[in-house]
Amino acid sequence: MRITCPHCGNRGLEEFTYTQDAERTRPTDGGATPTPEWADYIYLRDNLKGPRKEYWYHSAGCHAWLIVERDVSTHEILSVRLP
Amino acid sequence: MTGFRLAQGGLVDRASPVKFHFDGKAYTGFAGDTLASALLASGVKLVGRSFKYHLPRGVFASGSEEPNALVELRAGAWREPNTRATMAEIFEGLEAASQNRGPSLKYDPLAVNNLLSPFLSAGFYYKTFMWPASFWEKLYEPMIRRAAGLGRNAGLPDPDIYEKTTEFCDVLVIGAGAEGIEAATQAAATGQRVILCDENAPLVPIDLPAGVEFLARTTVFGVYDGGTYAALQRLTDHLPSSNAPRQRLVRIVAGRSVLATGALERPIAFGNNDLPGVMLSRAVGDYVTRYGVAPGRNILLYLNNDDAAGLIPVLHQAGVNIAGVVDARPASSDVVHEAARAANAPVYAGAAIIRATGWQGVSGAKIRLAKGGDLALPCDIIAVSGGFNPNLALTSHFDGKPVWDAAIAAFVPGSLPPCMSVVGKAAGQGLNANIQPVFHSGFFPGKSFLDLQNDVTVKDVKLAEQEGFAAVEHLKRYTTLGMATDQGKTSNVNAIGVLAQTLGKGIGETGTTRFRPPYVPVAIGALAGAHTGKEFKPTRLTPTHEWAAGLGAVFVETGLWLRAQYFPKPGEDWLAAAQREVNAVRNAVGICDVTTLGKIDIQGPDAAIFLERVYTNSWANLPVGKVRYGLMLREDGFVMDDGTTARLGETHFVMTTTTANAARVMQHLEFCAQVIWKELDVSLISVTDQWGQIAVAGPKSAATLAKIVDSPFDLSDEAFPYMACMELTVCGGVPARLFRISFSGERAYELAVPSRQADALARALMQAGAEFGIAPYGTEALGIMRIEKGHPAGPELNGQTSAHDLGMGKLLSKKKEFIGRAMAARPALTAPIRQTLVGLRPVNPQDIIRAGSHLLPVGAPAVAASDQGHVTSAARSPTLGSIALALLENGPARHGETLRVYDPLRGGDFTAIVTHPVHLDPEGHRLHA
Amino acid sequence: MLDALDPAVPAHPFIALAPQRRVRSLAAFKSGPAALEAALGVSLPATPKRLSHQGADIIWNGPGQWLVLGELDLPTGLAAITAQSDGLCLLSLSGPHQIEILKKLLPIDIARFAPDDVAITLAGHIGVRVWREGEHFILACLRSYAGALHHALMQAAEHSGRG
Repeated sequence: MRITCPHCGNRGLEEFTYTQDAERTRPTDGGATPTPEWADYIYLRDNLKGPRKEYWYHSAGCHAWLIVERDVSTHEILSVRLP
Repeated sequence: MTGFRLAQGGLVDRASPVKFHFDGKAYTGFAGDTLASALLASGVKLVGRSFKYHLPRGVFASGSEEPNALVELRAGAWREPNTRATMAEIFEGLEAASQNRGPSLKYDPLAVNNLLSPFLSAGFYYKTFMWPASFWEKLYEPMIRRAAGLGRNAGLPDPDIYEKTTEFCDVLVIGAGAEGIEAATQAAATGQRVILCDENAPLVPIDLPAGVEFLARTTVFGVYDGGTYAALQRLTDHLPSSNAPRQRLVRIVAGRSVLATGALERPIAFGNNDLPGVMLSRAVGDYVTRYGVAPGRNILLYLNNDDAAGLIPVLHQAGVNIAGVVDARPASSDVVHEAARAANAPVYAGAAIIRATGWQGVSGAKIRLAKGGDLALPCDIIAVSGGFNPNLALTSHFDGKPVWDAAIAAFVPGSLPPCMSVVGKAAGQGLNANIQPVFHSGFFPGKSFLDLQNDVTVKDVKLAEQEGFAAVEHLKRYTTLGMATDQGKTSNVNAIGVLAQTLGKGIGETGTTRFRPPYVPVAIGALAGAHTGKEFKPTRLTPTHEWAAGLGAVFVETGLWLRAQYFPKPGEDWLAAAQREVNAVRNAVGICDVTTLGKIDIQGPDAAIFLERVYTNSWANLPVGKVRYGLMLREDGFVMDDGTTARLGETHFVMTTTTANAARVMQHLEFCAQVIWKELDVSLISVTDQWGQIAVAGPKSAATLAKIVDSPFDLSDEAFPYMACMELTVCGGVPARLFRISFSGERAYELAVPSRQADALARALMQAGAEFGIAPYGTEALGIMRIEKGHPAGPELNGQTSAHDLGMGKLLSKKKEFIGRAMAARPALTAPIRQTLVGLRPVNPQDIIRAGSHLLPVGAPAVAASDQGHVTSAARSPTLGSIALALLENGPARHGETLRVYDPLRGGDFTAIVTHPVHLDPEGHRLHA
Repeated sequence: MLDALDPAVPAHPFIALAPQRRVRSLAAFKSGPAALEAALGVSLPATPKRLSHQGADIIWNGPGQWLVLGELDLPTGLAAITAQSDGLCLLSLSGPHQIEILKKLLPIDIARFAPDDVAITLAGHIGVRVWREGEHFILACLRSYAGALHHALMQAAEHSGRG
C-alpha cells in the first residue's frame, strides 16, 4: 500500500503507522466526568464496508498526522489531508 | 523414450560444452541448456518419483510450469530442493539429484504405495489413520512425513547473500515475448520509464530502445496495492556458488503494468498419462527449436486444437519420426491434415488415447478409433495438447475472478488489478484455433492424472464431488489439487472441466480458484535480504558503549538498544556483580548510562499548557529550575508512561520517557499537538541522541560531581535541592544539564552532556569518584534498587494498570483537562477489587520469589478461580534478600497478610507476606544523605 | 596516473563521516514563520528542499521545521532552536554506483532526486534524512544508529557495480 503524504509525497506503507478510526469526534467538554459520549469515542466503532476515514502517522517520515480516506474493501485511497 | 541431441539446430552454444552431474553420474551439455534439456539430450528419461505414489516421472514441460522434474540442486548448505530442472541453467560443475525416492531412482521400494492406492485416494489423510487417536502423534504422523516429502531441506543456515532493491517506473511490462517487447518499445517511445521483466534469460539478445530497463531471469511474483509489484531476480543461480549475491528481491512501483505472459499449455488426461515420455506438445517443440534436442525418436501427437499442429512441421524438419496424430475432434481439421500429409504422418480423427503403455517410460499408446475398435501404436513420446490457458495468475492477485470464454475454451482475465492491462495470448488472443474442449479422454484403465505433482487423478475429483466437496475451492483443498509448488499450472483447468462435467454444470459456472502471490516459490532468504540473524533489526548503541565494553560489561537488548546489564569482576556471575554494584551505590557512589530514556525538548508559548493537558498533574506552577515526576495516561484512562520533566525556562521544558515508550510517547504527543489541540503553539523535538546522560547515585555522588562541575555552579543542597535542575558547564567548559532526581532512592543526579562528550565524561567521573570507591552499575543493579524502592516501571506500566492501581491516584488533578481524565474517573478503575501495587517478602528467607508467579490465598486450590494477582517485578537484594512487587486484589488493605506464591512453570510454591511496596527507606531519608 | 588518484573522484564507492558542522533544529512558532523569515532574510523551504544561505545550509525537516547546518545567527523568540550537532550522524556516499547503492536501501525514487531535494525516509530499517551535497549524497541518522547505518551502506556498496 502507498500513501501520499502531503509534505513528503507518495510513500510505501512501511513509513506509516495506523492508529485508529477518524470517524468519531472527540468530546470537547473537558472530560470532568465519564459520560457516554466519552465511552463511545473510546470504544465504539462502526465496522462498515467502503470508504472510511483513518488516522495515519508518518512515523518514518515527517511525523505528520494524516486523515486518510480509504476504501477498506478495495484498498483504494480516496483522499489524504492534514487534520 | 530416448532423447538425443539433434545434429544441428537450437540456440544453445555448441562450442561451449558444460559438464555436470545428475544422481552422481557425469553428463555433458551446452551453454544455454537447462538441466532438463541437457538430460533429455543425454537420453535420461527418469528424473524423479511422484509425491504420493512414488511413481516414476520424466520431464513434462519446458518452463516454470513443470510439475515433475523437481531436483535438488547443489550440495551442502547450498542444497535447494524442488528446483524445476526446466528452469535450472546448467553451469560447469553443477550437481543435481532426483528427489523423493529410495536409494535408487530406478528401483524405489516406496512405489509399493501404488498397491495401496485404493486407500490413498482423495481425502485419505482424513479418512484413514483415524484410530486409535493415540497412534496419531507417535506413529501415523511420523510415517506420513517420512513417506510423503518432496525434496529435502539442507538443514543448515542459508549461506547465500540476498539483496533487496526498489525500482520506480511508469510502465512495467511482464513477459519479454513478442507482445511484451512491442509494449515496452511503444511506451519508451513516448518517453516513459519502462521496466521489462522476463523469467528466462534470452538465448538471443533482444533489441530494446534506451529507456527500457530489461531484467532477465526475473519473475514478477506478486501484485500489491498502490501499483507495487514484487519480482525475484535470479542473479547467480546459473553460476557456481560464490560470494556474489544469489538473488535480488525487486520491489517495483509502477504507474501501470502490461501483462504479456503468454499462455501455458494444458494436457488431456488419459490412462497412465504420468509415464515418463508424456509431454506437453509445445514443450516438445521448444526442446527441438531452442535446445536442439529431440525428446524421443517416435512421437505420437494427441490434440484437440490447431495451435498444437505447429509441432508437426517442426518435428518433420528435424527429421524426427511422427508415429501419428490422434485428433479428438471428429473430423480433425484442414490445418492438421495438411501438416500431417506434408510430414507423412497418419491422422486418427475423432479418436482418443485410452492409455499409455510401457514400464518406467512410454513405449506405446492404446487408442480408441472413431469407428470403434482399438489400436496399439508404438511410440516413445506422447506430445499432448488440450489447448492453451492464458497465463493470468497475476490478474487475480487482486481478487479478480477469471472468466470462461467458451469460444476459445479457456479462462481469460476477468476484473484486473488497477492500472493493469493484458495483451496477446495472456488476454486470450490468437489462441486455441478450432478447439474442441476435452479434459479427459474418458476411459479409466489405471490412473488418469490431473495434478502430476500432488498425484491427484480424475477419479479423485469425482470422488471428492461424491463426498460433497463440489465447490471448486473445496475440491482443491480436499484433493490437494493445485496446491503443490507448481500451483496447478497444468492441471487446474482440466480439473475444473472434469468437475463441471461431473456436476453437469458449465465451466464458467463452476468457476476457478483464486491465485495468490507468490506466482513461483520464493526463498525466504530473498524476502529477508540482509535482515537476518543479528541484523534482523538495527542495533542502537549508547555513547558510553565502548567505555562499558572496555570494562567488561555484559550487555542486554532493550528494544533496539544495547545497555550495560552488569560489570562482572573476575569470578562474578550476574547476581554477584549486580549485588556488588548495588552495595557500591548505596554505600558510596555509582554511575550508570541512562541515555536510552526518551528525551523530548518541548518549547513554545504554550509549552506549559501542553504539559498540563498531557500529564495528569500540574505543570504551569513548576518553577524554572525544578523537575517534577509526571504521569501520562492513555485516552481510556490507563497509564501509558511516566517520567520526569524539567523546566529549563519559562517556555522550555525537557520531558523524559521510559526507554520502551520513547517513540510511542512522541507519536502520542504529536497527535495531541497536531490533531486534538492544533491551536496550541508548541514544538516537540526529540533529543534522546543529542544528550548522553549519566546517573551519578549514592551518598558520595555530590562529592564526586563537585570535582567536575565548573566553578560558578553551586551544588550545595541549599542552591540545588532534590528535584532541581540547571544548565551548567563541566570539565572545563563542556555544556551540560544537571537534574537532581533519583531512581535508586539514594542521593542522586543525572548529568547530560552532548553525546560526543559522554565517553570522556564517564571516564572523568570514574576518576573523580575513585577515592570514594566509585563503581559503574548496569540495568540489573538499577532494577534491584528501584524494586527496593517500590518504583513502578515497565512490568507495572503494562497497559492494564490505572493510576489508582499503582498508588498514584492522588496525581490525578481534579481541576484541569488532561488526556485520560474522563475515562480514568470511571468507578471501575478505582474499585477495591482491582489488583493494586503491593510489596512481597517470602516467609522463609531461603525462598526466592520470581516474577510471573501467581498469588493465591493460603489453602485455596491452585486453579484460576483462586487467582488474586501476580508478581510483576522481583529482585534479590544484597541487604533484604528476596523482594518483589506485585499487583494484588485490594492490595493496600492487606499489608501483613500471608499469601501463597504459586509458580507451576518453575516449580515454586511457598508463602509470602504482603508489604508496602517500598521495601527500603520508606521515609526517603537517603535522598538527602 | 595521478588523475586516477584524485580524491575528489573516488574509483570505488566511498562512505565516510561528512565534514563536521554545527547542527541545530529550527521549529517555527505559530506566531513565527513570517517574522522568522524576515529576521533571517531568506524564504525557508516549505517543501522538502535544501537551500544555502550565508554559508550555511537550511534543510527542510518536517512541516515548519528545518535543520541548520553551519554557523548562522538565529533569532531567538520566534522559533525553538535546539542543538542537534551530537544528535545526528551524517554519512556521505561518494564515488560510482551511488544510485544503485541507494536503491537497495531507500524506498524512494532516488533516481529522480533533484540536486536540492530532501527526503525523510528509511534506509533499510533506519530512519534517515537524505540530501545531496555536490557530488555526494548525505544520509543523516540518529547518532545511536551510526554503526548500523554505516554497516548497511557498506553491505549495499560491496556488491555494487555488477550491473
